[in-house]
Amino acid sequence: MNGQPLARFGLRAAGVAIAVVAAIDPVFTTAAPPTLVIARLASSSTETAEALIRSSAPGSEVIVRPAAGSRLPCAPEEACVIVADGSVDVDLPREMPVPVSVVRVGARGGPNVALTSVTAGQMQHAAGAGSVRVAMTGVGLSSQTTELRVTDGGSLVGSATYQWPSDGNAVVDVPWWPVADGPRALRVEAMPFEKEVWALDNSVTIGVNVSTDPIRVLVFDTRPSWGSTFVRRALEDDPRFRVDHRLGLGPAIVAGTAGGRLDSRTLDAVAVTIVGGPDALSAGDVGLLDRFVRQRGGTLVLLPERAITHPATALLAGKWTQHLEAMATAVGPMRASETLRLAALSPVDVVVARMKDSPVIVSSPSGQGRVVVSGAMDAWRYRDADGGAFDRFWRSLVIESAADSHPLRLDFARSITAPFGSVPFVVRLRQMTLPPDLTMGATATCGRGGAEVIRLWPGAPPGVFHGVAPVDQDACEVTVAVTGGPAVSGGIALVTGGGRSSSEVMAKLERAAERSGGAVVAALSPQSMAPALTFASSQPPRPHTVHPMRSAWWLFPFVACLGLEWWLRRRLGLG
Amino acid sequence: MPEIRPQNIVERVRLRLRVRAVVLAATCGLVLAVAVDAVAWILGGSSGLRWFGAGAGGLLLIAWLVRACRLATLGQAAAVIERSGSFDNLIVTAIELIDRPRPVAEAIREEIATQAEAKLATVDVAGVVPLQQPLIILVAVSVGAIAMLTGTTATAVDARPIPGKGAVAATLGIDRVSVEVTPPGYSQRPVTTETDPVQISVVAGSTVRLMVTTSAFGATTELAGQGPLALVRDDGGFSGEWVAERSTAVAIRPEGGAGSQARFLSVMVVPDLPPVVRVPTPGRDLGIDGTTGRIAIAVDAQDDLGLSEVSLRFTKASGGGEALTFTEGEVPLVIARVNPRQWRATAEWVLDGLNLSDGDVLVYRAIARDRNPNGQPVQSDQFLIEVGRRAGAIGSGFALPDQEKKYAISQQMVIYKTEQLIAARAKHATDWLEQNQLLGIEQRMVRAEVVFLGGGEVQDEVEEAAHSHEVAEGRLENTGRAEMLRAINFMSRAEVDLNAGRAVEALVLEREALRSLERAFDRRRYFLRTLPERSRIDTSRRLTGALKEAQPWTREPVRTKAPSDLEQRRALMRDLAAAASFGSGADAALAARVAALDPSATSLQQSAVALASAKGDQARRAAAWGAMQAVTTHALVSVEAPAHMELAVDPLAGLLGDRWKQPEGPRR
Repeated sequence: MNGQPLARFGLRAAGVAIAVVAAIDPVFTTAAPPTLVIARLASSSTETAEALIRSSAPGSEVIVRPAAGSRLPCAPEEACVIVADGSVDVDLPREMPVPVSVVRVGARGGPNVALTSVTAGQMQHAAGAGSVRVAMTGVGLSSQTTELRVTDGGSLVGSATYQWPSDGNAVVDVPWWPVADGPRALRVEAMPFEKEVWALDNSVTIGVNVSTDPIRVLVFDTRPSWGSTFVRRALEDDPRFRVDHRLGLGPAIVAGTAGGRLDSRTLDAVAVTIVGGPDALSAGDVGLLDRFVRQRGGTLVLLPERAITHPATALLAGKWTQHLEAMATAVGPMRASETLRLAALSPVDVVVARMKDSPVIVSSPSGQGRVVVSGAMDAWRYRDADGGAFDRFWRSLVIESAADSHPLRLDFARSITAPFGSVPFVVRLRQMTLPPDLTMGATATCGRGGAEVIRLWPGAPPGVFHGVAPVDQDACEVTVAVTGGPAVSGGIALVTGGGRSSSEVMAKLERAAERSGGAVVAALSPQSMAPALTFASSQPPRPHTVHPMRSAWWLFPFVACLGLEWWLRRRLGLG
Repeated sequence: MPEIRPQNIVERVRLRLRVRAVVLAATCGLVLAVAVDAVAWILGGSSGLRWFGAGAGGLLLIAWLVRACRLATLGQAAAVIERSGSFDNLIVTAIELIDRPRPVAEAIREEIATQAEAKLATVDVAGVVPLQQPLIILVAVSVGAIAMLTGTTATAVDARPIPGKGAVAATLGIDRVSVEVTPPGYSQRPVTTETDPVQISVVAGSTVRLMVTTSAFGATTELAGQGPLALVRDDGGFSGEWVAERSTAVAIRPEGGAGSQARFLSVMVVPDLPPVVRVPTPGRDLGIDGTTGRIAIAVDAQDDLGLSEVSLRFTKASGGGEALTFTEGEVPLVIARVNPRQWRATAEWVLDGLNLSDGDVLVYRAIARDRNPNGQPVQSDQFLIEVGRRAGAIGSGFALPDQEKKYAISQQMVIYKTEQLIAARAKHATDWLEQNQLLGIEQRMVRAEVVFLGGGEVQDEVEEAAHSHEVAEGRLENTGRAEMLRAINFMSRAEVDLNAGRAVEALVLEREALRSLERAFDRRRYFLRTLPERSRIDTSRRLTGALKEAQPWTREPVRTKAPSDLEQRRALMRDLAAAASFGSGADAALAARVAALDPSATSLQQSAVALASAKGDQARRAAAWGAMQAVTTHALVSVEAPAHMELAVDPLAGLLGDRWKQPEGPRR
């Protein structure tokens, strides 16, 4: 029985000691292996690559993190290896303080179709159809047919098929039609065929703004001209255009619409000016049109019927010569027999249509705008035999050129984005003469909420302002209005999971890796993996702080000691 | 014992009490019957079970309640009368003495009866036991019960309980749609009837009769692009008809029913095709030396529905110039009918009686007509028979020799002769100049003809030649005319050279003139063709009309590119997308909307039929996807897709372009 007091003392001392040490909370520092983060940006299996990385970095603690939202799941100072197949897009930080490597995963070497790029006009009128240009590569597809689909929120809005003559690259234009107004996200998808090994690179999402605003066009005829008359009719018949015109019938006789004046106010408002009979333009008219092109940034379309003479030659670059063909010959989609041809192209000229090898319809950039000269002087004669190509050509030309020529433009940094965030935008106001007291306001309306005012910051060039549009869970519409002037609105389509093609995503990741000093690993082998882990393996052991008393398990010995001591005392009747 | 007189009135009150009890029992029984029926209907009971339950419950309750009639005794009636006024218990006492006689003095009994009678004289029996209100309630309940019972029975056909739920989707469905097609009489096709078809094909002009059997109170039918079709109540349903002239889609909906209960019918109208007729024998133009003979002719004709007439007609052209005369005639045919749709005819055409002469031309063609009374006769290709050797007729009409080539050949002849002269120069050492000048005369003659053709404007050849560079520089607007003038100029210069004895130099110019002539005549658009019918002036309209109505013409833009049904198409696309995603809503109503976009579009009709007849979730999704494809294809046809152009402007490119212009001229 003599041992019992000692035992009781020991138990009591142990319990008190645990409590005292816990209150002191001692700290110890040890050396822990360096951490290696695997950022998993893939929809396909990454187990092989991750196992290879683990085996290639035996001294490191490997942590696997999937993508969370649109951020790269790596801290700035962490050793990070991105395992990606291109299906998951994330925002990368501008500066990467440590090298980040990329390991490509995914099937290789089998039949495959991959979309490399998809382009479409950012603005699309609701009353017309659009065209999406799809560039893709195919491997192992000889005589196979690929079906391309364009969908908008589950609605099939366009489709096309392409038969591969052989492996290689292909460009296909897919027509589509808008099923709703406002910012729309179009998903372009190449339907996987039976034996395709890799389907994640078959789709891309792009953003398009569908608008009902017509393009304003001024048709100015110095004299009655068949060419410009039929071009005007092609535009007047289409609700996508609002056409004003002025026709000089004689020295003091004119005809046309009320807004059809060749003055600064009209030229400020219109995106495209079409001039028939430019050889009869006065020096004043030429000066006004020159300012419209170079300063206002508009598009001037000249439709000559004979060789252009002074003073209108000041609007042109290069020498245009008159030619006559025995038979009507193709000029782009049209036909003509009497043509003006540009003798020598400048490096910046864009040839819109040729007759044989000679440039006949040429777009020449000038200042902030462009001058388009149509040398197909009698193309209007053959418009009844071209299946509507004449009308379609001129409508397309005006639509395409007007995209850059609106008096007030709103350009977003990107056309699609993930919900919740922000997108920078630029507003460009271009006028014949910028007013000194320019007042411009911008608001954003998201979902069913009210309009929120956006602060605009002036840019370096006059008339240019910058802003940041908020992005809610619903699509937001940004409206910019100039007091007493034009207004414009646009929006950003919302998508989840990014919209880039897998090749674009991989290219972005690889560029970032190379920029940071990391490696890009395509082949999954221990030897090829070594460069990707150079930075991780060079990391020294990291200090590891240990707090041994910060564990709930200490409660058990603490309670056990005190409980046993109490039991012994009760047994001895000590109360 | 004297008779107690108040008994009559009390008896009347008792009777009314019993009637009221029966009325109340009937009312309660009806209410219970309706309640039982409603509960059974909600629980999905069959029609017979519900009727039995409702009837039994109602009758039992009535029987049980009618027992109360026995409680309506004279005493109770008297008590009721007592409660209706101040009778001092006289009525009850009087009735009690009647029901249970007891020893009471006769005088007292008489006095009680007298006073009771006096009191009862003031009693309004209808006021004591009113029956009007219970009867009104009974009538109202009866009407409601009948409506409820018959209504639930009528809707019972399509009432189906929702699995897993206690509620019921009350729907008014269409039981059967019969379509009777009566083709137009001339087609001689039989009347056909189909039951519950999704698509039918009919000949244009057929009468389509719809017979709809439905449990609903009515049905509405809408024809895509043609508006609603009136349906009238018929034996066991509703019926309506229309004459199918063009393809359409029909949506049949029960009145008050949901859209999913609609039926869809695609009506494809096959137009009556015109007959096809040809002349296989001889099948070519003929020329005969004499003015008599026999020509064997065979004619084949066929039609999709049936032929009614085949004939062979000819036109004889005699004479020439202003004295050209035409004579019409018909050649008798022997017709063999292979079947009603295909006929073969032959003729042995004897030319002897036609009074033909050398140079005459016979133009003949076969003409066929089908049974359609509104159809137009169709004629075959025309063939010629040239009589003698002078005929120069071609084709279906008459034309002069090609004057354009004539001039070209003439110039060609000058070139040929010049080449011959140069080749034989050794022979003409002495008369070289003279031979050159002779050729110069020929060149002048050809030139004169060309000048005449061009309008005779060239007055001074030397002056024209002096200004030839203007022609070469293309300053003349009319290029056809420019080529003509260029040719004249070359001819003039060739003539000058020939007159000077320079045949070699002249030959170059002659060839240039020939090339210009050929180019000029290739541009036929530059020459006005004589069209006497169109250019004829209607003198009766000259100097007529109101001056006030004279106004400048302003062209109205043809806004055909704005599809008026854009919103309709967009809404349809959204619903199709939902159907393709979830499989819901892919029904006949949606199919009818697809078909209604353009009833004449076969692809839309086929998609609508597939949508309406799809069974199962997967099939409905696939059909919805196919319909989306058809709608998109149709939309892309009606709205214009732009040609792809890239005119992107880079501000730096604009600056570079401006700098590029600088060497060409003064900086603006």
